[in-house]
Amino acid sequence: METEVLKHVEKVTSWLPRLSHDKRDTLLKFGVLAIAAVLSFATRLFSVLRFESVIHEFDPYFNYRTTRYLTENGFYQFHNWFDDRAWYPLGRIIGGTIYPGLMVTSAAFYHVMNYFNMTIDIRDVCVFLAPLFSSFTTIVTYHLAKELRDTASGLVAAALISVVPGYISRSVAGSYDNEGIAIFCMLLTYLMWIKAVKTGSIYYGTLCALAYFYMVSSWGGYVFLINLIPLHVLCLMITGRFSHKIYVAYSTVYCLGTVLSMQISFVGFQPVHTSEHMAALGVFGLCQIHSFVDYVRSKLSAEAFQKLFKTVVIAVAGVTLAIGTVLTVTGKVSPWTGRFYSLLDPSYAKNNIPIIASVSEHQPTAWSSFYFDLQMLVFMFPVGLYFCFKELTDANIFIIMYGVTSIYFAGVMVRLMLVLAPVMCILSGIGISATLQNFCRNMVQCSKEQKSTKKATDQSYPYKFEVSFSVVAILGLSLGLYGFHCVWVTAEAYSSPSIVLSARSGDGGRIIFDDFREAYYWLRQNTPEDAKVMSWWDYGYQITAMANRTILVDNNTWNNTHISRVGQAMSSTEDKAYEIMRELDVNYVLVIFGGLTGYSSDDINKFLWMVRIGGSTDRGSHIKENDYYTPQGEFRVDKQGSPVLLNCMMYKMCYYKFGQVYTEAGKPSGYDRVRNVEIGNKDFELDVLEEAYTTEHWLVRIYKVKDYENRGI
Amino acid sequence: MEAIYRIPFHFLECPNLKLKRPSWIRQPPAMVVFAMVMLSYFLVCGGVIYDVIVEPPSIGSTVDEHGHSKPVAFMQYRVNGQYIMEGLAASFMFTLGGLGFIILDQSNKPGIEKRNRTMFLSVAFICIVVAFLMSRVFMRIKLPGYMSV
Repeated sequence: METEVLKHVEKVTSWLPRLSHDKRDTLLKFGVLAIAAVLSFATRLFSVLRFESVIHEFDPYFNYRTTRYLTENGFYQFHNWFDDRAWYPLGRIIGGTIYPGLMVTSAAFYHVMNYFNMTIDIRDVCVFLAPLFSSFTTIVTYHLAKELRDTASGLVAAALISVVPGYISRSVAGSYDNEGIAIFCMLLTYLMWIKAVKTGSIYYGTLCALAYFYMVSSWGGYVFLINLIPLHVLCLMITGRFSHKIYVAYSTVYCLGTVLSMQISFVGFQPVHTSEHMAALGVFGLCQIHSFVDYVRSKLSAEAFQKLFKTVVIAVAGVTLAIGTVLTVTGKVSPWTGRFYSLLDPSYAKNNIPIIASVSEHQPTAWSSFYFDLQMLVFMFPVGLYFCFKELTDANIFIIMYGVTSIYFAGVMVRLMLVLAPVMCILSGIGISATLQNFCRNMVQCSKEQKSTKKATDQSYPYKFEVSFSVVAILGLSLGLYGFHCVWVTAEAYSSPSIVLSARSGDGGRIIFDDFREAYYWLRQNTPEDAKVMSWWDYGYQITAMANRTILVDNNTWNNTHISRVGQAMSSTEDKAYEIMRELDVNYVLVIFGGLTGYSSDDINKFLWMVRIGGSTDRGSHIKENDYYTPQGEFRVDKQGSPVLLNCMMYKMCYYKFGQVYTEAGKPSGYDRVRNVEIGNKDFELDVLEEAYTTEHWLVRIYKVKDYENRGI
Repeated sequence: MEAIYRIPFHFLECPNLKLKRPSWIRQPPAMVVFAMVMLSYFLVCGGVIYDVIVEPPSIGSTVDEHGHSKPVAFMQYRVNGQYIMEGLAASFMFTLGGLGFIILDQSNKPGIEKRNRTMFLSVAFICIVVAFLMSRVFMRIKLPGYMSV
């Protein structure tokens, strides 16, 4: 069998040009990397091909609006921008509460391209930025895996990360969000850190600090980096691998990196105030002490050193403990805050902060999310870890820690699967390439033995060639299946713009639901410039970006009390809600209703969160969740539904005049296609609202708030 | 200076503590740490954190046409939802696949008897193939539209 396989291989390779070994190596490397980079760009373009080049979801619209402002008004205006069109009447200091990296990158690309007279619209730059950076990520992953093990692992890792669904989900064309560039910055920082640790040069330490600055400017997840790198240094100290190289690397990175990170106004003085950054400071101090101790040990006699060592350790430990306690108790160093604390104690958000708990991305992860987003990599991850543990080096310890911590965090929050995907690719690349190298070596050995002695020399290894061939074949097949899975997942699950919906009609044709943009453009063209729109916070960013009107609450969710007030307005009866709406100067109210089309992410399905958040503050304490359930404890909108629910403002706004509509054959009028029931309260009139606009498929409904009566009663 | 330092020690006496790091605390070998990491990987991939927060039942149940309640192993149509048993079964498959490759690597060492090597190789192949196929089957049960347009 061996001779036949080898003859076929030689026939194929004889067609390729005769090159020297080095040149063939370089050609292969460039070929694989080029294909991986192009593939990662191409696989993210499904939604652009199916719909159009449009920005997806909710958060990207805010980023798009700020990028547009930056390109129109310049950096200084952008940095000092106070936005009075959001969070009316509070406003929002945008300059100081965003991570500007994404906007500055897009604006830079836009200006460079326009300088060379390639007049590309800023919207297209925003849509295609994430795929472009995913190509860069492929290259950086190659270099990182090459530093950790060898070139072969680098190539496999680059190929794996170009299509991994866990990363694609947040970096598809149109998903203009911080994570699109943050993963690139994170891997670049890690690459520079590994190089700094391996060489111990200030040059790489500085490059690492600069890459860290780019990371801080782009995503709030930089906290992960500034805790992982000190954790790595600590681990090296514990395992006795601390050397002058690591000392130089970490000192440079910490000092320069912290100073640079404080240049971002959103970060400000957090690196010296908050507990999330204290680990880095602590390890920095420990590094200095460790190196000093090593220095003193080399100069003193053993006995004198021991005495000095014990005294200093006790003194320093005592002083640090005292100062730490004092600072925490007096509040100068603030403890871990909400979002990051919920990573350490996952039940904290569920019990205390309903807004964090309500976001679906913040739910813990089930097994199917792991398999769906990573497929073959979940098998190869332990294999890569095994090979790293087999030959422990400073760099390997880093990737092991990164892998273990990110597996835990991905298990706590689905959204953090994004942070897990690169390390899964790197470790799987290491595992796959090590296995393949071992078994290909077997095959080469066997063929050499065959040529030389014509007799199997290793009696303890029967069918060596066949076994190796089948292992290589299985791995090749599973990599191919991985590719199929990834492209299928990208096409089916992660390429929907969610601002444009599509469905298959009965005869197989496609219906496009463009109701959201229809409603926002109606608002833009038919309402006064200073009109204030009230809606649930999900739609805030889209309304400001597309309709250009002032809103009360948006996706930033920085003010829980304000959101709670809106929740109270939605859950109360019309007259109580009217008081709240007049207090907040609301002119229009916007709701999303999916009952006619079967769109299940509408406001009635989100209503219980409005009740919970509305009832969570003082002024809303009369709103109790149980009032909105039936006596049996169910949430129903039909005749058995709770009367409080059937008369609250959200119900009335969603189902106004819906009782006369026939939605499905064989069902009575007013049949809600999402809840699958006939609604309870059908014929009612609105007292304080007036229907302003309902879109074609009743997805978005806009109501005008009536003015006070002319003759006040 | 010495006189001032000596004042407290006129009425305080230093305890004669002999504190030594206990000798049984040692850095664990690399493979022991790897085993602990594998255990935590098994637990996290099985969705243990999801189980603790959301508290799903161990097995779901439906009612069939005769009114008897039948158990349901996999929570269908939801990518991010699971029952406890299905999570543990799936992560068992993941760990089995990983262990298969590790055994495969161990079986490649020189100096193993023929009998042991064949055993290692057959166990490794069975682990890998079973793990791959079962995971695919589980996913198809969970999402009936998986891998079909």
